[in-house]
Amino acid sequence: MNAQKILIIEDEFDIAQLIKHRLELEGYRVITAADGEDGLAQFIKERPDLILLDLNLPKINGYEVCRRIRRDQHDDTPILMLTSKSEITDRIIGRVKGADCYMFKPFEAGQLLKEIKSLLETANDQ
Amino acid sequence: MNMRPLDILFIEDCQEDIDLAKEVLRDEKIKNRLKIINNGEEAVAYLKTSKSSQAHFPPDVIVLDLNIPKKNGFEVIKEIINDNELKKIPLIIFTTSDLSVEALEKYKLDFRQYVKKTIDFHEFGEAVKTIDQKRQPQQNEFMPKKDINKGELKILLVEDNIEDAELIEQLIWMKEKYQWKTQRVERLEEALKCLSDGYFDVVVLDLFLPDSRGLDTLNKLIAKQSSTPVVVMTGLNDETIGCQAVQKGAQDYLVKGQITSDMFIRSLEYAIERKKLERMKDELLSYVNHELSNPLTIIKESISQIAEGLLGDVNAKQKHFLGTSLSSINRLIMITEDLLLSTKLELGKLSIEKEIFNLSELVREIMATFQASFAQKGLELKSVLPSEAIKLNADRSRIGQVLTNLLNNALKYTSQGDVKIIVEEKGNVVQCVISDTGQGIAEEDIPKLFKKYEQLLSHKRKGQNGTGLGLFICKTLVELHAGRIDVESHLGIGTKFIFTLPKMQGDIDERAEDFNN
Repeated sequence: MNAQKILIIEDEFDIAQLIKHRLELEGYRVITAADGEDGLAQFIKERPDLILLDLNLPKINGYEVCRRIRRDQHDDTPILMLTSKSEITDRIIGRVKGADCYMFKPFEAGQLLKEIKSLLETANDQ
Repeated sequence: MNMRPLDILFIEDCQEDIDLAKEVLRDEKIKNRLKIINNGEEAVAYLKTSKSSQAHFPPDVIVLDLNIPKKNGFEVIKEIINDNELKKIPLIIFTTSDLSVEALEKYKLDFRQYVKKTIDFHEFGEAVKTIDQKRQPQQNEFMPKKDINKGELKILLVEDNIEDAELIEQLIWMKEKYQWKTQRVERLEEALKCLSDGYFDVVVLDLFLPDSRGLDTLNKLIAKQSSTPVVVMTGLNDETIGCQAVQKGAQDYLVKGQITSDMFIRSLEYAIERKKLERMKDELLSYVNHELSNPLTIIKESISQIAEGLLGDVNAKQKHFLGTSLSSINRLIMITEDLLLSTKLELGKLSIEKEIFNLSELVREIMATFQASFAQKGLELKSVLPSEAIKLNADRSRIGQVLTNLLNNALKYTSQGDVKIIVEEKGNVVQCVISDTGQGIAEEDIPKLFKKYEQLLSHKRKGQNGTGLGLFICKTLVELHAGRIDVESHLGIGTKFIFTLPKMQGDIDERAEDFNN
């Protein structure tokens, strides 16, 4: 079976592991990266089918990761931004070009899975 | 009188970042002239000529992206610090990655301040604001000082009655402790202009002006400039409006004809201090909310996975306790979100993002999320929606929040019967009624209902405590849309919340637009 590959770029280790666990049980293959720089390197090496991206990351932040993937790599792999609800993200949300979907932490796992599934389906249709 | 706008030289080649920075400057209400140069070479040339040229002066602040064409940021910094005059200009480094900052340290370049892009856009705003407030005013204009003990205060007096104004000015002059500087204007429009052009420590505001009357005057002022403390002046025998003004965000109110000099000065001092505390509260809440989100995510997701049996079998008793934990976590999440939102609403910091949508569709969506919880309690959730689409030009997610909060209440306080949502067009408004057959609200509790943190005694007994913020949030959100919300209730029979929103007229609804700016 050719499982779909998901890259999680998240600096909070426990959150990354929890999401990884859940996604693996759903049959996805999961790779993780703990900062933006490593995230970009993993993206180039692994070519995942979808990226779960935190906004507030060390080294290179999520916003810039997103932009580099879209602008420098000319790549349209679905990106799901996972971020905490705060004043700043409120303002930035909607202006960050390139992400396909936004979800706030703490998230509902069911909803996260639904979004991932629908993003992957849309990507496959194209 | 007015400070000239802050001259910012922005060395940046990415349009998105320029747009974001502009937005932050606007949000922080920093009056500025932005000069944008998209490469290092030109930027250095511009800075060098600014020393001698008549055409342009050196900027008040340089904002520099490190990753720019021709001469990169590091080279630009070198040029700046090798020039005795240019190196005096405050410099903000604007970069997306910690790597560049490490590189800066390696270069041993003397940079005074740097800001990382995007996530720290707030920090960017703060940095520019600090520079803006610290800069030397031209032509002997004295500096606005934050520290009131230093004794220099700038007051904006908004009063159209000349006798009242003179009386107030006299009260101020009687106290020699401070060096006051008053500027008097008669119209709200002028006051708004003064506030956007210059810095004031406090505004003394008469609510009844030629171009605006009543609480609306205060609302408009706060919507434009929420960071300056306001003391409201009311007439004799009209203290009610003063109290209302304080609830709406004024720091204090004074009754004309009953003011002594001491009282007046104390009121202004307290107003300034109170505003400082408000700001600290806002920052603290924002910080706490942000810091709580990761641990809450971890707890919630761990417990969810165990409860769902993803880590092995769970017996019924374990499942029950895990379920209780989860609902407590969800409540905790709700409390943190409500606290943050209500503080933002209070400070006039929330902007409404309008779009055109069908209200009936939104009602159906929200209802779907509640079906399970209603069924669990054996309650029926019904709706009466018109067959044609009800179009609104409003903030869809915020209106959704109003509906969610009202349904949450109905669910919480109803133990049998049904909850009904009726949407209909009435004249030039759209009306939405949410009625339940719950325990009802005692008449004496109704006036307290929409206030912050009011936990009604009759409800507390039932052990059903929410955040005490839900209805405050509803009311403020509805009012931000130029709508209104009312309640009708009878103990033991049920409660009805009625809110109305203006119908979509053409493309723009002017009043709500005002709040947006």
